Amino acid sequence: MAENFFTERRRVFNWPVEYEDILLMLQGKNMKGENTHAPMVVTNAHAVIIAASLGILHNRTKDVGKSKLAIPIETFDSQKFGNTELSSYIGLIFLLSDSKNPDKNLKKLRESESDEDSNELHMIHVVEKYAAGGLEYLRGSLTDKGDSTGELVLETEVLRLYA
Amino acid sequence: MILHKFKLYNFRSFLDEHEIKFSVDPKKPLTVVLGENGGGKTNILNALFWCLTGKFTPSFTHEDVLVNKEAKKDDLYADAWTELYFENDGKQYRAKRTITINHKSFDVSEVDKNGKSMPIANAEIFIGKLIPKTLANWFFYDSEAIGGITLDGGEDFKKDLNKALGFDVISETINDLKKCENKKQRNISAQINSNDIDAIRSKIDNIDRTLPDLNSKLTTSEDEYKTHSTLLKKCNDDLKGVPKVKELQIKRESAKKNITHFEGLKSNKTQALAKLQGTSFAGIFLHEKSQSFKKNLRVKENQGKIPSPLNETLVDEIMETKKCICGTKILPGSKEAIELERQRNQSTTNLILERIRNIEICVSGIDNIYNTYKGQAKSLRADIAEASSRIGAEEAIINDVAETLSNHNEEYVQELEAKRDNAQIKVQRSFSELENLKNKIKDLEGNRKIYATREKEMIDRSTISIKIKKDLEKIKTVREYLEKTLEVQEKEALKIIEDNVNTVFSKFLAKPYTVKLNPETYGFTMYDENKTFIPISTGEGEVLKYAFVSTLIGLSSKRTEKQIDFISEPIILPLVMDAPFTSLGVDYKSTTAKGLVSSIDQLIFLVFPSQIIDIQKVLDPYIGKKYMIVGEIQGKQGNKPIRKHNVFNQELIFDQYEKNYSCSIIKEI
Repeated sequence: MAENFFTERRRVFNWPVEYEDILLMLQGKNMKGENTHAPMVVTNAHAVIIAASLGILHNRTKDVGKSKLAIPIETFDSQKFGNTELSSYIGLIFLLSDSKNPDKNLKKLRESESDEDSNELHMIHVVEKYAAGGLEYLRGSLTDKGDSTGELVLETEVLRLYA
Repeated sequence: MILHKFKLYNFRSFLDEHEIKFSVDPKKPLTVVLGENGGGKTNILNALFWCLTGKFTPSFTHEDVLVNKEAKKDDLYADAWTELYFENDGKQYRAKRTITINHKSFDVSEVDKNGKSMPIANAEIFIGKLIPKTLANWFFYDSEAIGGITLDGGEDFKKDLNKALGFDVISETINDLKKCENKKQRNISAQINSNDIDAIRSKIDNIDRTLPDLNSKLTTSEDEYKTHSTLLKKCNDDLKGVPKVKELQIKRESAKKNITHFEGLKSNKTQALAKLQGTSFAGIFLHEKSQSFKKNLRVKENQGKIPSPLNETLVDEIMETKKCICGTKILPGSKEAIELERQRNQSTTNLILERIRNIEICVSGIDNIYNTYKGQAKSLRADIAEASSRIGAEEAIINDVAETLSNHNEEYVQELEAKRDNAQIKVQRSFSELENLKNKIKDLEGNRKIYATREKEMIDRSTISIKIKKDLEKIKTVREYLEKTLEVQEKEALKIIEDNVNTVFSKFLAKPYTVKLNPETYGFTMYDENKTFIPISTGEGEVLKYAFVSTLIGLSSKRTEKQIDFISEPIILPLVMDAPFTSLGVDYKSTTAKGLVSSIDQLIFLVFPSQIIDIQKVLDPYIGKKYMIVGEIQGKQGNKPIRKHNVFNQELIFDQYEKNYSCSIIKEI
């Protein structure tokens, strides 16, 4: 999938630096980088995918802004959730990004090869906005629930989906 | 023997001369001497005991310091003496024992009606006949040491009782006869001059040489076994009611290990859950939308939009050749060319198919995550909860152990346990040594019998003098007769003791219990009304001791219904008891006291004032004489207490201050 989406790589995936604590929290660490609890994920790449998925779930986007940190795009090819590369998740998130226009989403599959480079840039940009939106949502929920590991907030979201 | 008067001079705490006149009224046989702790009761008991036997009771310490220290201050050569006036067989006697720094003396005189004294030769032997030494311990009864006396049998007790019953003399006679037999046998062997007999005789002699050695080792070994067993019993008694530290520590260590194990398990499962959550959350969040996307994709496929009917390569060829496969010309920019381009834009390319395939795999993976997450998470959470619960349970164990141990000195209990373990090992070891020795002795005795039979057969076949043979036969007959008689007597004696102890026991004890005397060990065991064995409690054990004393006194004075032949002369002795009934429970005190005063000719109780109060009502009709020991103390009273008691309807004061010397005095009440 990734090979077919990213023929020429956009180099980085940006995320707002203000959410660094949340990314570390999902990796079981505090801001000093000390292990404080069981990690859900092992890289920032995993964390931003969860955040972007949450953004998709709540249809929430946010501009990354100027204070940002970057993840090399190659990381998404080499890291997986189970058997699925993170880059596949990026592709899927991009395809699901406009839930009101399912046909438009299908059309995204049809972008011509000549546009792929700009498609990739566009795709990453879209997913970055959802990741930032998801992180913003997460920040609010964590504060509301006084959750320091993220488990309570994320599990609550999961329970709602199974209900 | 009836005691009339006792004088003591400079004996231990008693400075100068003091006198006690004992009650000789048969209806009021009891003389009571009241004394506080440290007042001098044990000194009086021992002054009496020493006067008659030259010995002391077990709880009497510093036997070498008999002369009062105040008297010694004034005169290093001061003497201490005790003088007892008593009656035996209608005659009056006076026994006096004296000690100074460099001199000891003992004399007994018969005193006639005019007070004239006639010294008796061999005073010790004379008194020894009146009071057999082994029995004396039971008549001069030191209750503070009675805890150390057990009635669970054993070789020492057996020996003492046998001596008390007079069996030891017969045993010695039997041994002497055996020696005579051996001597005769040796003479005969020498006369026959046969190598075979010599060899057998030599074997018998060897056994006879070895056996006393082994028997002596057996006695030592029995003593060791007894010592270790007593220590073990004491350790076990001390350990009753205290926690088993070793076991608790093992329990605590095991709980700690279990906690480590379950904490590890919990941590693993927590990590696994977090990992599962991290892997699944993105998929779960995307699940609903991805499913509708997948559904939409299918619909579009079915509508033929994907894949498109036109092949991209085919369109490229048409555009390049500018001619359709049907022959129609397709010029660039023409209506046909625009339509073909539009069609191609909707066509399925390999890239699109690949994209669709990958999206489908990803969506399918997400679906799988969604379907399995709940179950997997539930299972991991159950494991974590189980581990937490086990950790809680193990922590509760540790807390319990800590609480149990906090009330005790862990180190002390541990020491005690180590001591107990050590004693247990020693008991086992000495028991096995004891058994080995017994088996060896048994084997040797068996062999000796075989050799002796063989020797006899050889002698019978030989032609030695008939006279020697007859002598041997005579010795043997007497010896065998004595052995059989001793056996019968011993059996009979034990039966009498058992019956009498039971009679007395039933008087003293409220419960319908009986005791049996084991003929092998001479130990007593107790049974309830259903003849079921029950362990002897401390209280019942003490009552049993008093019952045994009463029985022994009864037997010695030949006042039991059945009598033992070997105690030839009736022995009538007073019973002198220091601090009687201290170890008895309240329930037993009155009945035991009454039982004793009503069955013994003369009784002397040296007793705590507070204790007489408990039994005063029972004893009152039997009290003939009353004395008290007063402590005179040098110097001012200051903050020190004065001990007072209301006894015999009057207030008795046991301490007097501002005296010239610190000593004890005896006052008649």
